[in-house]
Amino acid sequence: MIKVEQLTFAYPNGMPVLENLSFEIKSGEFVALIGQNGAGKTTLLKQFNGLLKPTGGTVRIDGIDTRNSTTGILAQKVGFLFQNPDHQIFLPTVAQEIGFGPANLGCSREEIDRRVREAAAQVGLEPYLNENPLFLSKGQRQRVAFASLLSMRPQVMVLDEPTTGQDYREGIEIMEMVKALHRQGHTVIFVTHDMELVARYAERVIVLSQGRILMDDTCRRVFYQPDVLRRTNLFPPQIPTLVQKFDCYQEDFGTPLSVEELYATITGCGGEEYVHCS
Amino acid sequence: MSIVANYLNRDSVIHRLHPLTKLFWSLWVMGLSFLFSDLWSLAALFFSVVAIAAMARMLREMVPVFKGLFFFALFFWAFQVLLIAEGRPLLTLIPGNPGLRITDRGVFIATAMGFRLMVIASSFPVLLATTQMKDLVVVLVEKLKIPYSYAFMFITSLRFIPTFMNEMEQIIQAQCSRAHRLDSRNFVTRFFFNLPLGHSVVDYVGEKGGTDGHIHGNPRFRHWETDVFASL
Ligand SMILES: Nc1ncnc2c1ncn2[C@@H]1O[C@H](COP(=O)(O)OP(=O)(O)O)[C@@H](O)[C@H]1O
Ligand SMILES: [Mg+2]
Repeated sequence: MIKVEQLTFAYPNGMPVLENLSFEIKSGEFVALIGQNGAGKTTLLKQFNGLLKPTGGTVRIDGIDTRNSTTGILAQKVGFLFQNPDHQIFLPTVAQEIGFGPANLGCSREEIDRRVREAAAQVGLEPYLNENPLFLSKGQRQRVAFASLLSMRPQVMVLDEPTTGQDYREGIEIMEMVKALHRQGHTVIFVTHDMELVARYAERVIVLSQGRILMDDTCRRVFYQPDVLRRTNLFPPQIPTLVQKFDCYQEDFGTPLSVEELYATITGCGGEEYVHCS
Repeated sequence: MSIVANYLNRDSVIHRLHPLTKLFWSLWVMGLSFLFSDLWSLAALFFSVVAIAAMARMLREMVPVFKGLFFFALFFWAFQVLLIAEGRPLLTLIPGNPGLRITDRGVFIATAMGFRLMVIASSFPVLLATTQMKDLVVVLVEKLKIPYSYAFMFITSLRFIPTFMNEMEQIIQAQCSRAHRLDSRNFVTRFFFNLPLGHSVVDYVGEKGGTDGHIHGNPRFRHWETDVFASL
C-alpha cells in the first residue's frame, strides 16, 4: 500500500530531517511510529499524503508516486488526522464539516448526505449532526475531524498523536474506534508517545531516531529489546519491563505485553480463557 | 514563509549595526516610499532593500518573502491598472466599453504602486531578521523613551506573527488533507480557495453567523464564500 524507497527529506531551510528510509507498509497493517520529539515522525507522516514531497528517493501510495500527485488526490487514499482537531474544523455544523471533503471531491448532494451519515455512525456522532462543532468537547471534536476524513473513504488512516492531550478514557475510545476501522480492513499508521497504547493496539512498530529507522519489527520483539529502545530515550511498557527484571524470563514467561497475557502465563491458563480464570 | 519576523543569526555588517540605525532605516525607507510616486525611484528603493538583505547575507531566506510579495503586488497591479483611465489606451478589454481599458499611464502608476507595496512590506522583515527582539525593546525603551508597556505590546505582537503564520500553515495543510485544492499552482484559484479559511479564522474568534443544517452540494460556491463576497 505504502512503499518508501531511499526516502530523504530536508525542509527548505536546513539539515536533512529524514535520511535514506526504506520500508513498505502492506494493506491492512496496524503500525505504530514511535520516537523522541523531533525524530521526524510528523515529517514522515506528511510524506504519505503528499503534504511534503521527498527531496530524494520515492514514496508510492498504492503505486502512485507522491511527486506526481497532489494532496487533494491522495486524500482519497490517505486520511490524515492532525494532532489538533481545531486546525481541521471550521464549518458551523458537524454535518457540513463531515461533508466538506466529499464536496471537494465533487460528490452529488445525495452521495454527500449518505457519506455524512455513514461516517457519523462510524464514530458515534449521529446525535450531534446539527450541532456547532466548536461547542463540543475536545474528544468529540477529534471525532468530528476523524469523521470528516472517513467521509472521503480513504483506505489508509494516518494519525498524528491522536490521544495527546486527551484523558485516559477519551484516548482509549479513539483507539477503539481506530481498531474497529482496522478490523474493517483499513491500514492504520499512528504516532504516539504512549507505549501502553502501542503494546495494546499495534502489530508492527517502527522506531524512528534522528531521521533513521532504528527498529522495524513486531511489537513484541521491539519491546523485548530495551537496550536498543533506550538509545532513543524510549522505554518499554510496564509488563515487558517487569518480565525482564527476572533473568529467567526467556524460558518461563515468554514475551507478554499485557497484564492479561502475563497473568495467563503465570496461571497456565490460555489467553482467551483469562476471563474465566479470574 | 515561516522566516518572516524571525531573527536569522548571521555574521554581517547589517547585523552588527545599531538597532536604532536599522529601525530608522526601515522607517525612512517606508517614508520615502510614500514621498516618491514615480516608477524609477520606487523601483530603485525596492532594489535597495533587496541589496541590504543581500548584505545581511540572508537573500536566500528572503526569496520566498519577496516572491510572496511579488504575487500580492501583481494582484493589486491587476486591479489598479484597470482603475486608471487617463493616458494613451494600450488595450481595451471589452471593445466599445471605455471603462475597462489599460493605458500607458495606468501601467506606469500601477507598477509604481506595486513597488511601493513591496517596499513597505519588505523593510520590516529585513529589520526583524537582522535585529534581535530584545535589542529592539531595549532601544525603544531606553533611547526612544517609549513606555515599557507599549514597547512590550509592540514586540509581543511581532513575536506572535510567526506563531500565527504557523497556525495558518497547519490549517492550510489540514484542509488540503480534505481535498481542498489549496496546493493548486494557479494563483487565482488559490486566492478563491483561501476565502473559506479566512472565514475559519473569524470563526475561531467566536462570532457565528446563522446556520442552516444541510450540506451544500456545489463545491465552488458554498455559503461562506458568498458571505465574504456580500461583505466586500
Ligand atoms: N516546517 C518546518 N520547517 C523547518 N524545520 C522543521 C519544520 N517542521 C519540523 N521541522 C524540524 O524537523 C525535525 C523533525 O520534526 P517533526 O517531524 O515534527 O518531529 P516529531 O514529529 O518526531 O516530533 C525537527 O528537528 C524540527 O525542528
Ligand atoms: Mg510530531
